[in-house]
Formats: sequence, C-alpha cells, structure tokens
Amino acid sequence: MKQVEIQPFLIDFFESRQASIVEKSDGILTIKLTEQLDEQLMNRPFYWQYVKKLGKVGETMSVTFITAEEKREQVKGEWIHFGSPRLDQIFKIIQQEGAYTVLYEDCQSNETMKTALHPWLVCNIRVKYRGYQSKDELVSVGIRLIDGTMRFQMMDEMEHKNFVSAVPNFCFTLPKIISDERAVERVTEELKQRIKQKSSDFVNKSHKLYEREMNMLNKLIIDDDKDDADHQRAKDQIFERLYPQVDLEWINLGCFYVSEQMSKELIS
Amino acid sequence: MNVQINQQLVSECQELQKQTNCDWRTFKQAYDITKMKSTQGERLACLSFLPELEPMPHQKEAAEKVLHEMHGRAILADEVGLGKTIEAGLVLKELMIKGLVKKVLILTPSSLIRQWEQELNQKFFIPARAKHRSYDWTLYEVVVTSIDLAKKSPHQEEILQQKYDMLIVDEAHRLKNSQTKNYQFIKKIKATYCLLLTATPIQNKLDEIYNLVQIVRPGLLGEKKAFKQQLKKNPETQEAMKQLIQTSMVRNLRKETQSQWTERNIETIYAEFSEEEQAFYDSIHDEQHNHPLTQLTFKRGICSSREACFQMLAKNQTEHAIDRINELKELPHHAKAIQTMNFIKELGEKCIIFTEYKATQIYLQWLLHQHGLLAVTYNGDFRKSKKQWMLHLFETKADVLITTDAGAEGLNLQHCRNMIHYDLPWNPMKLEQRIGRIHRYGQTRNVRIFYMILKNTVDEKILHLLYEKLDLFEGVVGELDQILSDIGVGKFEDEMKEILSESASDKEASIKLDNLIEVAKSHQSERKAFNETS
Repeated sequence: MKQVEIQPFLIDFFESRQASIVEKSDGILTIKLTEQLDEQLMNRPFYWQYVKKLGKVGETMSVTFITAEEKREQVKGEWIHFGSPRLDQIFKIIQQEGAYTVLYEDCQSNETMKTALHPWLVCNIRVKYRGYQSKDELVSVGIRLIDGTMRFQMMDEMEHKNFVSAVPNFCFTLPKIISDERAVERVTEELKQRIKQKSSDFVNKSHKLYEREMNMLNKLIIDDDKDDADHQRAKDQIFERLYPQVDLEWINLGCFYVSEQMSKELIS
Repeated sequence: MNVQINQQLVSECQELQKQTNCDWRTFKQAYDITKMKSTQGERLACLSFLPELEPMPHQKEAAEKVLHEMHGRAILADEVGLGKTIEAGLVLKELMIKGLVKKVLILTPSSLIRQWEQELNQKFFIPARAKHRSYDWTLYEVVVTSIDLAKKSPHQEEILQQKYDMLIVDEAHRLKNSQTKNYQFIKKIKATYCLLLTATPIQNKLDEIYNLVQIVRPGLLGEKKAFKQQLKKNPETQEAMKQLIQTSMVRNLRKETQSQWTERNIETIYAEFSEEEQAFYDSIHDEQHNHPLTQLTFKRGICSSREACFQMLAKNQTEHAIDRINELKELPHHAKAIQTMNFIKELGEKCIIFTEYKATQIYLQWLLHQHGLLAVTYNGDFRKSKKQWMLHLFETKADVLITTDAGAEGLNLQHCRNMIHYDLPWNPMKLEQRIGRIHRYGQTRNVRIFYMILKNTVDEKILHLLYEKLDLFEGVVGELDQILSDIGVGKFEDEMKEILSESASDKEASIKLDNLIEVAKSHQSERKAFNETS
C-alpha cells in the first residue's frame, strides 16, 4: 500500500461500517463516526458510560483525515501515514474483527442442480523465527474436514472467489467428519515437521553463534563471579537472543464451505 | 540440533471461535495487513511504505542487521557521511510499522535537532517534534531534543519516569566516559530498543567502547572491574571482546561502499609569506621556549593569522609578549588569507572554509567582505537559533561559510561541493569528519578539497610528513586510530605533535613517522587476515 492508497482504504473502511462521509477531496476526508466506531477509535469511555447511564443518545464525533502531505498546513485534521498510531488502530480493528469466520462459496445453482458444499478449515498462521536473526513467515493451510487432506497457500487459491455469510440458495452443506480441534492438531503437527526439515540451516547457525557467545562470556568472567546475578542475566539474554526458537501464532481462522468443483481443484 | 517450537494453537483456536463471524473482505484484509507488517525473509517491510526513499545498499543492510540480528539494540558506527540518520530512520520506521514502537526519544547535539526533525518528517513520514518549553514531554510521541536540555531538572525527572519504546542518541561518542552526568543519565532512561550513533567509536580505546556497549547491551561484557582485570591478564580476551562488541555494532567504511560515491579531488594551493611575515616566523623559530610544544603552537598560530597569534600572546602578560604583539601590529595582511580570497574569487562557487582558530574566522570574514564576498561564520559557541540562521544564509545568500571543527559536527552541507582547509588539523580523523560534511550521502557532484599551505612553514611540514605519508588522498584513514590504540601508541594527535616538536630535523621527524606508519600498516594487514578468517 502506498501513501496515495490510504484514502481509498479509509473510505472503504468507514463506508463498510456505516459511517457517513461528510467531505471528500484530494487528500482530505471528513467522516462522521458511528457510535461503535467512536467507541473504538476516539478513546472517550467516560463520555459513553455517562451517556448510556442517562439513557440518552450520544453525539458521535466527526474526524478529518489528511493523507496528502501538502494539505497538512491548510486544514486542521489528523495526518495519516504509515506508522501513524491512528492507522495502526484501524489495522488492529480489522485484524480483530477478521480473526474468525464461517463462510459459504457464492455459487450459482438452481432447483434441478443442487450444489453440495464441502467444509474446509482455513488456518492462517504466523511463524516467527528467533535466533541468529529474527524473521517471520506467513503460512496459510486449508484442511478438508471430510478426509484431512491439506492444501498450502490456501489464501492464494481463494483470492478471486467470493464468499457469503449464509448458505446460498439451492446449496447444502456436507457435515464435518473431523472436528475443528482435531484438524488444528493435524495442521500443527504437519507445520512442525516442515519447520524442522527446512530450518536446519537457521538452527545450526543459531546454535553456533549461541555457543560462541556463551564461550566468550565465560572467558570474560572471573571465577569468583561465576554465580553473580549479572552473569546470569547476561546468560539469559544470550539465550533469549540466539537460542533457536519458533513461535506459532494465529492470524485468523475460518470455516469455509466450498463447492465440490473448487474442493477438487484444491486437492489436485 | 534442537529448535524450540512454542505454540498453543488448539486452545487459542477455541478462543477465536467465540468471536462473531466476519465477512470475506475483512477476513482477507486481516490476512493482508499481517502480511504487510511482517518481515518476510530478510526484506524490510517499511520500504514499500517509503516509495520516495532510495536507501543505498549498505544502509539497507545496516538496518536489516540491526533489526534481525541485533534485535533493535545497536551502535551504528558508520564513517562520517554514509547516512547513519537514514539507517536509524529505517530501523525506527520498520519498528513503528510493526506496531512495536510508539514512544520515541531522540537525543542529539542542539545544532542537529532541526535536521533530525526535518529528515524524519520529510523522508520517513515519522511525526517527530522538537521539544519546546511550551509543552510537556508526553504531548508528542516522537520527541527530538538535546542531551543538555533533557538532563536539566525538572526535565530529567520527567523523562526518567517515562517508559520509551525507543531511544536514539546521535553523536554518542560524547558518552564514552561513564563518569559524566550525560552518561549516567542516558543509562537510566528506560527504552526497549536503543540506537547509539557515532562516527568515531574507534577514537576510543576498548574500555571506552565498553561504556557504549553497556548502554545497548547491559551486562554483555561483564562487570567493569572484572572486565578491566581480565583485559590486563589475558590478551586473548581482547579478541573475544572485540567479537562480542561486533555483535552489537554496525560499521560501514567509505572505501567499502566506494563505487556509489562521487569523486573526491584534492588539490594543494601554495602561498608564500611576505618578507616581514617570514622574518617574524623565523624569529619564533629561533626563540628559546620552556617547552617545544609552545613554539609549535605559536608557529601554527602565525601560519593562520596575526589575530590568532595575537590571542595566544595576549594570554601571557610578559614584557616579551608585549614586544611581540607590537611586532605583530606592524605586519601586513596575511599572505595565506589574501591567497585564499583570490582563490575563492577565481573559483566562483560556494565554498566552506575550515579553520582551527576563532580569531582567524573573524579576520577572514572581514577580509572577504572587504573584497565583495559575503561570508558567514559558524562555531560551537553560537546559540541554536543563530546556527540555523547562519546555515540558512549560507544555503540561500552567502558565498562562503567559515567554520571551526567543533561547530560543524554532524552537519549536512551536501549542497556545497568545495571545501578549503585553511588550517590542517593534527588528527587525520578530523579531516575525514570535515570532508564528510559535503562528501556524503546525497552529494550529486564531484567534491573538491583544497589544502591551503604556506611554503617553508610548519604547514608544509604537516602536509608532507603526515598527510602525504598517510596517503590521505585515498580517504582511508578510517581504521588508523583504532590500530594505533591497539598497539598502544596512545592518542594519535599527541603522538604527532610530539614527533614534530621534539625532532631536531625534518629528517628525524620523517623517519619517526615512517616507523609509526610501518607499525600501523603491519598491524592492519594482520587485522585484515583476521577479519577474513573470522
């Protein structure tokens, strides 16, 4: 995303959350917030608490977002750019709201040609490597809840499809044979295997460095200081920094019911 | 080999399922945002947010190293002019994008506050604000200020109460002494990530670097007393130490990144004393002084200007000094100054003059002005606002900027490409610092460096004995100070002065210098071999 793409992104964000656009021009956007957005964004819990206690309707705020550098001097408003806390706040709202879902492929069917929808669990996971260097890797795994078949790069496959939140007309869902928990277990096992296989270089390098620094540290410590608290702290710090570790974290999780045809494509 | 995998995906998955279902677009967006904020492989995520910025390869690498291998706590010690601010900006931006950093404190010399504020805002879209007395420390999230202001009461107490996500200290070589108030204050500031920027960590001895490392990685090098004992006992430890230091220090040298630099042309301009001046100079030479260094100091003074020499004499109120001052008054305009003025007229472009003496500064300004050249002065005594005004004048109106070394630290003057060294500094590192003001990241034209040399004087001696021998024309002094301190020669500057003042003849001085350089060179090749194997 570039600086010029921020405004369309904001418009999309606010419109899809029913906020109204008061003014829109090049690099300037004024939004009248909804009550929910006001509570999420404006950080004034006491006001809302007070209004609700009195049983009144609160007045939501209007905010002006400036996305073009040269407009900053001309208009009063918030300057929005990458790394600005406000944009980060909006990102976090999306990340929170987008953490879980159940969706159905939007496929055209009719009375004579009913479509069966297959359940897939989509697991998007962030793999964080910590060791001689720190890096992230995003994995997107789909697992068919009928037979446990897995598909990697799942999000790329689904990118251009459309999904809706209710079962479309003339479609019906097949029942899950494998439970969500069991499916997540299987995905985790598979991921662990893959990480162990492909990270040997990372692990070796990290271990080497870890040992080297530990040895150097030991050389620097005089014998009678060995059980000193400082020494322990230095050792802990080296462990934290260099001992190879991998953290697995959820990005989001969704149960997707997809047409038989797509299900087949995913397996091939 | 083992790798520790930490996860609670199953139990966390049950938590996720308690949430409301979102729509497809939000689900996709949530995934894309996480992707955008993640470091994929070794690439910096922030670059896609900064389409205008084109950092040089070594700057990107430095930022990546700090982020991925040093975990955001490091000493950035590139040679001058390689763009340490850009590196620091990249690190800061990356951490901000990932949501790891919000509250930032940036401490710089007061003359650089404005420069930092501008660069962060314009190049990185980071809303940095200079601290002003009209508002509180907590009002802005990214605050730029000077150590001098920050350490005063009540600011110090307020800052120490904060918990910063990131602390950046520019020109951090000022922190090498752990006894100073500055050092103790900085050490107490609470910050998760920490960058120390310095161009000259190698001027410091190992135990001075120790103090910097103590800030970025407390405890890494053990307790100070133990550290010192250990160093004395066992030379092998020194190497272990250096390796350990390298795990938290990035240092790029100009010569390693050379291909991307514009050229640096160096030329020597000669001037000759008039008869009266030469006679005065020779009479200093014949005088008996209690200490050979005193004589050298006077010689250097008169090679710069009558005014500089006057200032030195005025300090001691002896009869002899008063006689000398009277003689000074009789001298004509300084030959080197006249030569410099004519040269600048011929040059017909903006230029920067470096001198070691404030008296010379004022004299030159006056002389240039008499001949229709507009010159502004700049030195460490000026207040912040005056400094900024002078720089502004130089960029927009004036032909010449006359500055001292202390004043020019850290400045970006790449809009100018000519530099005159009116007095040569003893310490070649200083010369590199000076040239770095114009020959730096962002300079688009070839730079031209001129030495002003008075024939048959100490000027010429310094040039021949020191500069030519050290092959400064290549701009490779970088490691010299470290080498010399490694082999225990002490401060390079003092060493030079001693050789020059105590040698009976030029020949003797030359031989002594040759020796010194030989030792340094052999040490350098050892170092090289060591670095290549490690």
